[in-house]
Amino acid sequence: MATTAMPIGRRRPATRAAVHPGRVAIYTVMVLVAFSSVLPFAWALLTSLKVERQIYAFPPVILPSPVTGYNYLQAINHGLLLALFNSLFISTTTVVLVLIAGSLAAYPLARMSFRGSQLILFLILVPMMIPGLVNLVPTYIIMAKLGLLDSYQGLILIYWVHSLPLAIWVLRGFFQELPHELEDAAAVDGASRLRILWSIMVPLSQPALAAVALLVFLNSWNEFVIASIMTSSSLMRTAQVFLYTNMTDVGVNWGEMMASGLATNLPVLTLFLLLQRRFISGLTAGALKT
Amino acid sequence: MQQTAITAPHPVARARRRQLDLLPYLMIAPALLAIGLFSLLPTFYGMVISVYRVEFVQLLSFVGLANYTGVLADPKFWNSVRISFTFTAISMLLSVGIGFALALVANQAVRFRGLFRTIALLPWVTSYVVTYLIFRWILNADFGLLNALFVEALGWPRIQWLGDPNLAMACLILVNVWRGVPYAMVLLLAGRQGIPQELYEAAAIDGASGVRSFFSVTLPLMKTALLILIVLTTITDFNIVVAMLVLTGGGPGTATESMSLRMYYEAFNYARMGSASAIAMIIFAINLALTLVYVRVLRTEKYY
Repeated sequence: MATTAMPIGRRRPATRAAVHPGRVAIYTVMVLVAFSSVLPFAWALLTSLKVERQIYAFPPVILPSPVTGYNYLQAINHGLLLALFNSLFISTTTVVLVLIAGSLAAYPLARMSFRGSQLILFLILVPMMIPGLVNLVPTYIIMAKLGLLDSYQGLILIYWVHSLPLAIWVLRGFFQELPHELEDAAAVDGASRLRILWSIMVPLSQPALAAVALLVFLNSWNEFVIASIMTSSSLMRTAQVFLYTNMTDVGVNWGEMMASGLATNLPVLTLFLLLQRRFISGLTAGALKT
Repeated sequence: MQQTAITAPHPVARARRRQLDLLPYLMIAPALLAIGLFSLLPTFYGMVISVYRVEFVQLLSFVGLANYTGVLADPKFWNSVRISFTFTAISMLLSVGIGFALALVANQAVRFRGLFRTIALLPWVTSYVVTYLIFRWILNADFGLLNALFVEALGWPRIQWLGDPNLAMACLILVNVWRGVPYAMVLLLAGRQGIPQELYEAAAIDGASGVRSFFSVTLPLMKTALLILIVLTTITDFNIVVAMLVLTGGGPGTATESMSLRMYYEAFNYARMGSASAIAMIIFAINLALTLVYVRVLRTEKYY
């Protein structure tokens, strides 16, 4: 599909690429947009590297001098690393569980015919039509009754459940596109269907699995509302909740806030820059879910 | 599990014979149970909660529609309805409109398209909390970048961006658009690139101008992508909590307190789970209504 790879235009002969008023306008717009998406991050980075006196200086100082890592150290002193670890642990575990349960469910829905398969698929996809907000209060009450508030298990469970429908939808679609021959051959050789899923479908589906993994990781890492109601102790806070609680504390230290914000954003930003294409195919797959 | 696995020496794709094959059900069971218990059940449970008097997490007594009438009698609720619709409508129109324009621009570019897309998508990868946090700092009246660069530098008095009801709403919408545009752009760019170039060539041969081919080729062929995007953006914006929570806290006063934020506060600041659930159900109903309207538009109108 055109969604996974956007070809970067072939080079035209130099004569055509030369000054062209339409082109100039196009590139001007592009530069402005790029500038507006980078500027807030750049300003956050500059703020995070300044000493307090410069952060609150008037007229504003653009470049930090001296450059200081103090704000980052302060953030670490206030528990940034634990919050990042919590987010990492919760998101990674969620991804693994989504991939396992997701492929297990997607395979029969793609390849086997059995009674009730349409109904089951429908039930699995219905939650995508229900906004998460609607389930917020009942989920909180259920988790409270199960004693899963303020625990890793509780958050992982919720993120897992929320990610499954999309994962199953994407993986089922991908499985259906794969040719039957390999599976048939394996079946003739006596391989069980679980064996076929594990040894044939999973290796062949790496692009889809990677796209799902990235999207689920991004969503779990960035999720805030559920995390904010499910965690109360400072030990269980995810990075997003850590940011919010620090911000609402009296006397916001903006240098430290920017340092924590950027540190929180760094893992997903790095993943995105390294694996951009997979992200974009996940993004478009996510949208086609309806 | 073992037993059923052994019975499969013949091709997988073919239908099983009469005896019930348990394997597919067993494979689906974990996902289906989890979704049923923690996604579908909570929705019904939410309906139940909304007709009960609730103390913390205990459902005490059935109260009929009292929670709903209580919510509907509260002028704050109607204020939040107005805010939700204003925020959603303007946000959606701006992000889809700008995203569409940018998709067409990016499609024209011969070079640097990949790089442009990477940079433009940075806001989309960034979490809501981080986004709104950074903008809260930029919009800070005393030390913020915006006042320093564009207001005080020109000799004007500082503007309380988040202290004025209308300005706070405008800031909320603009930051949300800033975060929403890249997503719209990438989706629509994918849609635009799906249109075969031949159609434009044919239109050009028929003497169609650029404007004409936009209305006769681009728009009709991108209609589905546009409508899907509009539905998704509307639903996301309507249900957003974190934007208001982090940037304005619903303030000043209740000037940016959307229905979603109101529900969050009712439940988790005031521990009024019953009325929070009633608001949640009203939000759910509005979501369904909006989706149905869009689906109807999508169904009834023909494209190309």
